[in-house]
Amino acid sequence: MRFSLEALEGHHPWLAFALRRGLRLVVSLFAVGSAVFAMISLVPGDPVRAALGPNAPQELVTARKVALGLDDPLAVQFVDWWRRLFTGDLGTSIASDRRVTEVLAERMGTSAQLVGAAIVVTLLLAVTIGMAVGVATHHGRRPRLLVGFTLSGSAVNTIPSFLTGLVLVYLFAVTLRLLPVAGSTGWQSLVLPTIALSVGPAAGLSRIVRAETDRVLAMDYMQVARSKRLPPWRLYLRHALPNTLTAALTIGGLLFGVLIAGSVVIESVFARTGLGTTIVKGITDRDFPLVQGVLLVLATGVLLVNLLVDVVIGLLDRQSLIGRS
Amino acid sequence: MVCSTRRAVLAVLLLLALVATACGGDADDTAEDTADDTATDTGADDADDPADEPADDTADEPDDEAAEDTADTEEEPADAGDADATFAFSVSDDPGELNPASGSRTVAVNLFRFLYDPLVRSSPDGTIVSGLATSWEVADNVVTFQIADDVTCSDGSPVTATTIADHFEWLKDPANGSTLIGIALPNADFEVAADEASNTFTLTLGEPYQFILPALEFLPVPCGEAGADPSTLVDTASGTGPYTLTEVVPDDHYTLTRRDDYAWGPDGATTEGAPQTIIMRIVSSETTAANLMTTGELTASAINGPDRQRLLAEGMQETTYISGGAQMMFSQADGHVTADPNVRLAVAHAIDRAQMATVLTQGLSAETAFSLAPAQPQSCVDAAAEAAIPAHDPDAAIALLEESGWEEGDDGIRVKDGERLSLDTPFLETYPGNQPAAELMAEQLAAVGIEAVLRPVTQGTLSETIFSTGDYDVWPTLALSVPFQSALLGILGGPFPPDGINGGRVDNTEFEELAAEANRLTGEEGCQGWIEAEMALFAAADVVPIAGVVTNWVTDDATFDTMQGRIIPTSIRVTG
Repeated sequence: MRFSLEALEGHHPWLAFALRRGLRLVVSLFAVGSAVFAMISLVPGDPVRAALGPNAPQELVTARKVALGLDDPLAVQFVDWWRRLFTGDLGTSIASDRRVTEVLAERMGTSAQLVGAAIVVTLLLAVTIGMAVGVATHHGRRPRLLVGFTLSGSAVNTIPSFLTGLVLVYLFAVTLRLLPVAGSTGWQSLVLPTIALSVGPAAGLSRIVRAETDRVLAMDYMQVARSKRLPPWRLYLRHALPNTLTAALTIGGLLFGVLIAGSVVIESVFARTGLGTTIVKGITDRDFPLVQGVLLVLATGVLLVNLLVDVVIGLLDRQSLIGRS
Repeated sequence: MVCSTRRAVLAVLLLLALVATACGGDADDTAEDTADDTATDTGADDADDPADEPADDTADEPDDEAAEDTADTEEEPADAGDADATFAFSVSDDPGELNPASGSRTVAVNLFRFLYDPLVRSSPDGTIVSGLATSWEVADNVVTFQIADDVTCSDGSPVTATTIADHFEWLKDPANGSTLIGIALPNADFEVAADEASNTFTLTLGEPYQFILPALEFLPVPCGEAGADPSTLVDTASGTGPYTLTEVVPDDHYTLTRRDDYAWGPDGATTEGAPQTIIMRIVSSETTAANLMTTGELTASAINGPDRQRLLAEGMQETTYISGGAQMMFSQADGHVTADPNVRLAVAHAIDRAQMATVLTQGLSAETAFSLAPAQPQSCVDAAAEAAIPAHDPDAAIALLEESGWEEGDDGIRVKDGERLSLDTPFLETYPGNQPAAELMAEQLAAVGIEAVLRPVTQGTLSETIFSTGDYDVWPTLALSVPFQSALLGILGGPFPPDGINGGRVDNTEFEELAAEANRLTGEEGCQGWIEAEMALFAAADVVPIAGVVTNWVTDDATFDTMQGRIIPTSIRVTG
């Protein structure tokens, strides 16, 4: 296997990359799936009792448990769960009696909107600010700006997103009445949550972009480009930017996980009906199938985005295909 | 370099395209949802605290907005409301599955009041008024209802005594697993008959049941094609109610539209003057709900926390009502010190219930109701039972403990045979008043030599502790909100878990006999019986009523009446 993979790498680096990453994805998914099952199964509490309420007759609760297979031994439930997973069946929500796949399909869009918008905004903000400051402070110029940028960057980065969200709501929704307080209808409802979610990560990422810009600007080819008296936009956007992006994208892939975690809180603050609110309610309801479904989708999302980032970096820099994975 | 630059740009574009696809796809979905009125189903998710969605809504939680609102005394005349208006209110949970025969969450039960009619209803003052039945007669175990003429279902089909009888037959079939059996009907031991000619419906119970009329209020009658099998009503409604369900976006909002031909409301009420559209928004954060009130996106919301003041300062109105009760419950299982009646009585004597009530409701409770079912209005006014609750008397507590052999220990906590008198005291952390109330109790218990080890728990742990492990000594303020006394029978008596739901392992034969007897009586006599039954519980300190739990309903230029905190749809008037 190893031998053939190495042979492949020589001739078909992309194929070898795809094979290796595919295998790793499958193993990761199995690990995530099993971990999700274990975590949820270890949580104490009776989901059926929680769903039916404290006054429900015991017979009804028992009957419901048998119907859901919750009285089977854990090992049987585990095998069952994987068997169903392979047939695309994530089970039925205990609290609402709806198919988990149906609920996920409905909620995924809202979350994808928020996280997608947040990624775009984060990258745009980070790259613009990071590069601008990088260019401005290159060669040790404007040291005060650099210190101010570094300090404010780390300060903003540490503000929790829900706090940013509450402040934004107070300013723009309650006081100025420019944007809706909460909800998930219309693009207006996306503005405040997106900003709340991206400000922190953007501040952190912009510092990396600045450092990268500084590094790239010092490289020989940039000296050459400068000596050709290229217009600044061409110099920075065409020549410097692509090379600063490698690091930004790698961090951006990791950021995806951070943004997903942040979206859980932000969705609650802004009363948006996404995967975040679904999982929070699922946990309070002990709605195991639903929580498992959401966790699986989120984990798969993070794994896939990281794969995508590696592919993009592979496109940017072929060497990474062999070295990295 | 140029080549790699192109690739980079391509890659970034790809990423953007991917994101755009995700967004675009969803926008379409949303549009579809809104377009096709029924939209999707109920939300899976729910709730802050599952305690507020008891099987039957018999056990609201203190913070439950479910029981929204109150008796608004200054009601506008029927025609004062703006008929084209929209009334938007918030709830903290999604109602979940919309099957009226099994929807047991409090939010669902409140939503059903808009979409369905029961046979009879309670008015804000507690009297029974008409619903689908214009008149009724209770004779021992037989209840005869005269059904209103010309009642139509939301799908246009006529609703008669036969429709109602068919639904009762459906409920009776154990295969349908209706959770209303045991709540709206005492058990499945009943017979029904419908007379088409006179349009009368007869319900014959196995034995007489005191609360049959107030209980039937919790039985929404579905109708029409879908109503024949209520289990198909997952995200739609098919009822005779004053409003029809026109849009469902689970976990976001439910839109209801007025039926102008509705003429069989409580006591003959129509929908004249009631708002054209009602929007029930699901907003789990109280701060968010308060912000929505400020911006005018909500007309009414139950706000119990600190945001209340800010809304009142903006000139909004507030009504406070008792939505349920908080009770002190003990575990009487073997091995628990609280199995000893002297210890329970000592605890009951040691605490100052009035102080605990003030702390629990954060000073909002003007009137504390010491009852097992204090939600207003009460079907059976049982204030007289309070006489049996052990009074605040620390000396009596000390005497009882000494009688049981608990001697003063070195650190002030009493000991017996080397064992410290220490009580495992969990409380539900989600309701803000619980912790200060528990702390106050711990302080008062320490004064008589009892140690209360406080333990904040989540709703899941609460139900596990009570219904399976029994791993607790005392719950200082357990929310047990029931519409009428008999709904507590299974919790304060009967088989212990895992066979039943008697979580306190209460074995009070006197109470069980008195309660069973009271249930078979009717009217004043039955209520008197219940007062005696409650007194038997209080005298043994099997349960100690701590407070009537209040909910504050903040409104902005709107009024409505309520029954046990539930909005009476035909009474809503938007005045702004």
